This record gives sequence, C-alpha cells and structure tokens, in this order.
Amino acid sequence: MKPKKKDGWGSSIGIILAVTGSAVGLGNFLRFPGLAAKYDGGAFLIPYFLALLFLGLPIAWSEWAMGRMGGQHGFNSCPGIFRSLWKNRLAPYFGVLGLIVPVIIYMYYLWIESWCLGYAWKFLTGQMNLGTEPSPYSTHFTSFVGMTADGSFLTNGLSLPVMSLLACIVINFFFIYRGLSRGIEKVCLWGMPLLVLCALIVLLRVLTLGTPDPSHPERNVLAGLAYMWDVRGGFTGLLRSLQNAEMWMAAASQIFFSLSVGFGVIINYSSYLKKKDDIALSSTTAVAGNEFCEVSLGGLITIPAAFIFLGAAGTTGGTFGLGFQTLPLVFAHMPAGQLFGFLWFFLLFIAALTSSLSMLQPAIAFMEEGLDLDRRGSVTLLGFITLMGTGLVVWFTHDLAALDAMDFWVGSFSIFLLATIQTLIYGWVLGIQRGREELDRGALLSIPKMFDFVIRYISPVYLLSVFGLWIHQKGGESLTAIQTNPSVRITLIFILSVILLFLLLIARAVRVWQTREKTS
Amino acid sequence: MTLYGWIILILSVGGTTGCLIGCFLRVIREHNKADRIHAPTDLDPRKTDL
Repeated sequence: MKPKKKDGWGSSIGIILAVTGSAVGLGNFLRFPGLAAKYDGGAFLIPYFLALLFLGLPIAWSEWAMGRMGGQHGFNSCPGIFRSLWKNRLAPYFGVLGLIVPVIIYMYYLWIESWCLGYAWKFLTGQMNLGTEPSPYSTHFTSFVGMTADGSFLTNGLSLPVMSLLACIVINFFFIYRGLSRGIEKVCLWGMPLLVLCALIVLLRVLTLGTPDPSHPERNVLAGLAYMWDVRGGFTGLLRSLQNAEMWMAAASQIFFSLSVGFGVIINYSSYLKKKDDIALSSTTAVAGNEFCEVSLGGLITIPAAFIFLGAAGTTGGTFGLGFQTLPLVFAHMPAGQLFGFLWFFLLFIAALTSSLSMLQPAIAFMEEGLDLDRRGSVTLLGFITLMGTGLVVWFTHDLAALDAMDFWVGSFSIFLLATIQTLIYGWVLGIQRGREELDRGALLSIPKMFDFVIRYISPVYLLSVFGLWIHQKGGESLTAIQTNPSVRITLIFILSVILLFLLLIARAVRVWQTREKTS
Repeated sequence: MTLYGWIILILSVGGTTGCLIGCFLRVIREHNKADRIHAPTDLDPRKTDL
C-alpha cells in the first residue's frame, strides 16, 4: 500500500507563487544589488545570466521533475523521493539534507524576519527618526539584535525585538498548521502581489528623486542607476572585469542561493502535483518571478537609492549592513521617508515570511509519511526542535556567531551538497531519458534538447567548480571560527545533533515503508 | 550613463520583466483553457433543473 497524500495545491498559480515566494527573500533586494555594485556594476550581469542559464534553470527543472516523479510513487519528502528514484539502501539517508537544510535555516531566518517586522513597525510609528548621521543607525542595529554580548537580546524582557520575534513565531506556525492550500498557498496568493506592489511604489519614489541635495549635484537618479548598471571603463573595462574569477563565483553563488535550488523545498512542493500537471512552464515562471524581483525591482531600488543620498560609500556593508543600517539612513534623507521606510521593511517582511513558511513543509511531509504523525503532531514536534534552534541563535548574539555558523554550514555548504546530489541523481542515476520523459509529460512549454547535455555534464562541473572555489575562499575563515569561538562550536554540536536525530527518524521511516511494501 | 550601461539595463530589466509577463500570461491562458475544457464534464445532468 502506498502512503496516502494528505495535502495538495489548489491551483497551478498557487504553486508558482508559493515556489516564487519561497525563493524571493532578502537576497533579492539586498545581496544581489550589493554584489552587482561591488563587482563593477553591469559587468556582473554577464556571468550572472550565464549562471542562470547553465546552473539555475537546469537544476530547477530537474528538481521539479524529480519531485513530481517522487510524488507519483506516494512520497513527498526528500528521503522518500530519493529512495523511490535511486534503488540504493543509502539513498534515503542522503535525503536527510533535504530535511535539515530548510529546518535549520528556518531557525535563524525567523529571527531575521523579525528584524524586518520590527523595523517596519518602528517606521510606521515614527520611532526610526535617528537623524541624518550614519552612527546612530549602526548603534541602533547593534542594540536591536543584541550584538554587543551573548544573551543581551533577551535580557530586556518583552522589548520590541523580542515581541517581533514572538509575533513571527505565531504567524508562521498559524499558517504552517493550516497546511499547503489553506495556509502557505493563501499567504503567497496575497503576499506576492502585495510585495510587488510595495516594491513598485518604493521604486517609483526612487526613480522620481531627481537631485535631492543641491550641494551634491553629482548624486542624482541617473548617477545612481549608472553606479548599479554601467560598465566601468567602457569595453576595455568590461573585458578586464570579466577576467575576475571571483566575480564569476559570486554571480553563480547568487543565482544558486536566490533560486532556492538544493534547498529541499522545490522537490517537496512539486511532489504534490498530479501526474499530468505541467512542470516546465510552472518552474520557468517561478524562476522568472524570482528574477523579476531580483533584477527589475532589487536592482533598480537599493543601490540607486543608497547612492543618491550617500554616494558610493553608501553602497557597501554586506546584506545586513546595507539593509538595516544604510537604508534606514537613506529613508531619513528621503522626502516622506517614514512611509517609504515602512513600505520597504514591510515588503522585506513579506518576502521573508513567504520564504520561512516553505521551510518546515519538507520535514512535516516526512513526519506524516514516514512516522505516521498527523499535521498537529508533526508541527508540534518541529515547533519544539526549531524553537530550541532559534533560542540558541538569539542567545549567542555576540557578532551574530551562531547565525553566521548556521548560515555557513547549513545555509551555504549543505545547500551546495544537496544540489550536487540532486543533479547527479537526475543526470546519472535516474537518467536523462527518464528525466526528459518526466519533464515533457503535460508540459506547456518546450524545454530545449540542449538542456539534457547541460544537466548531465555542464551543471555538475559548474556546480563543483563554484563549490570548490567557494570553500577555498570561505572555508579557512569558518574553520578558524570553530577553533577560536565556543559559541560556534556549540552551534555545530547542535547542528550535528539535529542531523543525527533526523537520520534516526529516517531509519525508522525506512522500516515503516518496507513493512508497508511487504504487506501491499 | 554610457551606452553599454543602458544596453545592460534595458536588456536585463526588459528581459526579466518580459519573461515573467510572457510566462504568466501563458499560465493564465492555459488555466482558463483547462477550466473551459473541464467545465462541461463536471456538470452532473441529474442535478440540472433547466
């Protein structure tokens, strides 16, 4: 007897918006523009779009195909889907990554989501008017997240940051408990258009700023757009920029992280589709939606706004620096900045919410089909595990040590691993022929034959090259952090404990599935 | 902004926006088409009181 499917999508538009919502997050509006500004503006877009064609799109297509195929065998979770596609007794255990990646990312992403909600509230109530100098905004952020010392986030009792976090926990669990079509899909059906609307209003404001400070005539809209999009140094400068290997790696990483491939969510979401539902057009639309938010909205808002008021110096600072220190200062300079600041942080909150809502569904599906828990039981168990993790993150706040450790080892390293495993299963275990048949069934869009070659040869090599370069660049720093920082060591012990727990649960689920197969 | 900058801006923003609009229109068209195809078969003649 096959396990029963307990949930499903209400419409094709629903799953497209849910996958887009899962992919669209802070990276689209903060990380992408920051990278483009760092790597010579327009030149960055060339490796970026090549990575989209040869890495992002093929992996997304293959993930959708494997998910729907696994769903036809009665499985919705990564361990079950891997087991159904790859007849190897170790296959379900590789699927542990598809569970722990979203679950652990959820633990710290929830906290970041609460920053967006807290900042939106502060702008709405006029509490973010900290003047026109940068330092109060840095001090405010440091105090808001408790970066000065471990435990300082929680020591102020029910302060706004803590209340924002509690609100996010309640909102997330309310909608997750309601299920796919009544919870996640409903939020995305309303949330994604609302997000785009807020972004378009802020974009209109940025593009009509003109030259707001007459004492700095060089800081105007056109100069802001040029800083983001222009090729510095003309054609010779473009050729010189393209020789920068680091830029190619950064572009590929951005595409990879932005599309949420190798995240365990797409494979789970697509497993709820019916056998003849389209996946080619749906997956391409979801990718297009993510790229629209990233390139057309994020690319036109963030850096031009920062440049217009603060010049080139205002465009640096990384995701958190740009998002929570620089942009509030930009809104302080902007006419009607309180309103636009609220809209901006509210849209970031919606983007984060639609992402976080997707993160527990893979593990819920696993507990339902492998451990025979109902939704209430699986949500309660996951709630307990994730609250422990979030508690760890908001306790070890000194220099955001726990958050950074989780983001590196799970939010980056494990995602690369899972994407590599998925690409190899699709291209080499499942086989191009079966994969193509799956993609073409019910397809409303013809995927070029060239894709078969790309996914089998180019994508794995591209992925492993970027992975290797990335480890080379970031690995040393993270290993040093393990040796020198006890908070990082405790965080790693916690991550390994969660992995071990899920491996044990998978072992039990495999026994349940074997028993079912014998009796059917 | 130089000509290269304008080309990259227009191609990138126009390309992603155009791709999204094109894909979404097609999704909506197919969605409506599916509704039209399935509607008659979904009718139960025993329940019609025309």
